[in-house]
Amino acid sequence: MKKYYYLNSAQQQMGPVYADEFPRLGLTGETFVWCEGMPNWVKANQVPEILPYLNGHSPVYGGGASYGNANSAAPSKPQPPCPDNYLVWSILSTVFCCWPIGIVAIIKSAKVNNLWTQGYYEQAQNTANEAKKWCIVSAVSAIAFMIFYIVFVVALGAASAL
Amino acid sequence: MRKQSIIVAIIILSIGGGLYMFDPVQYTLMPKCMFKVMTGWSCPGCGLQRGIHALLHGHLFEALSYNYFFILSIPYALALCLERFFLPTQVALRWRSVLEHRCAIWTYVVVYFIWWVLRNLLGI
Repeated sequence: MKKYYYLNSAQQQMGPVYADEFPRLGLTGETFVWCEGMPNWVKANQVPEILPYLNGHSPVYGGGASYGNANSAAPSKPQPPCPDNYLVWSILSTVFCCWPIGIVAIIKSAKVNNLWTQGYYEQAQNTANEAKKWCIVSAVSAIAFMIFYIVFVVALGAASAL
Repeated sequence: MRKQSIIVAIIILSIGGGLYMFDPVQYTLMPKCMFKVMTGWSCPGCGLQRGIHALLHGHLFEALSYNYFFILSIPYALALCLERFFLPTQVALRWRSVLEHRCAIWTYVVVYFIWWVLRNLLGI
């Protein structure tokens, strides 16, 4: 029996779990799942092995075992789930933080999905971590500057009032 | 409703509320851009607070005039927020394949730099 990763309601990758644990976890046929050998995430109701464990499961639709062919070209290394690329935070940091450090984060984010599809899982994870780091650097430096600025203005106001 | 979505919604609403009430031009204590304070040049994001203030008061064209890059950056940022925090997984995965495509991201980065140079050369 295979172990499956799944996306929870917050779209975070969870698992891996066995198919018979699906009812206990409250997962439905609409839950996106992935296991080793699949090129992409698919709905649970498209995976024959999980189907019997789904409550009131509907018949397989679309291209049922569409990932079947990919098994022959399965990567030799186990394929971990694609890491979060933090793109939304990188973009927001360039919009809000008024500081071009966010661009470094965007460039890192852009590489994550690509590295992962090419099979460089470890590098994808490292790049995702770097993207996260630069988002934090950008936000923290902007907030630090704002506090510094406010202190400066208040001090200047106090000095001129004396 | 997801916990993360609620937090993001609260942040968006409080920033929006603050910028609706306070005109950033009139209040010295509103946050300032560190690039602008240090160099005197505008960064590609400058004008955001004035822009949002104008937009929330219904002045669309005035809002754009503070930063023409908003035409790209604000819809893109909002779409990404929707995709990551608010849309159901199935729809989000479809949006993600477009929004997080290499071409989309690189377009954003290139336009960002072109806008940075242009606005300081032309004084807009």
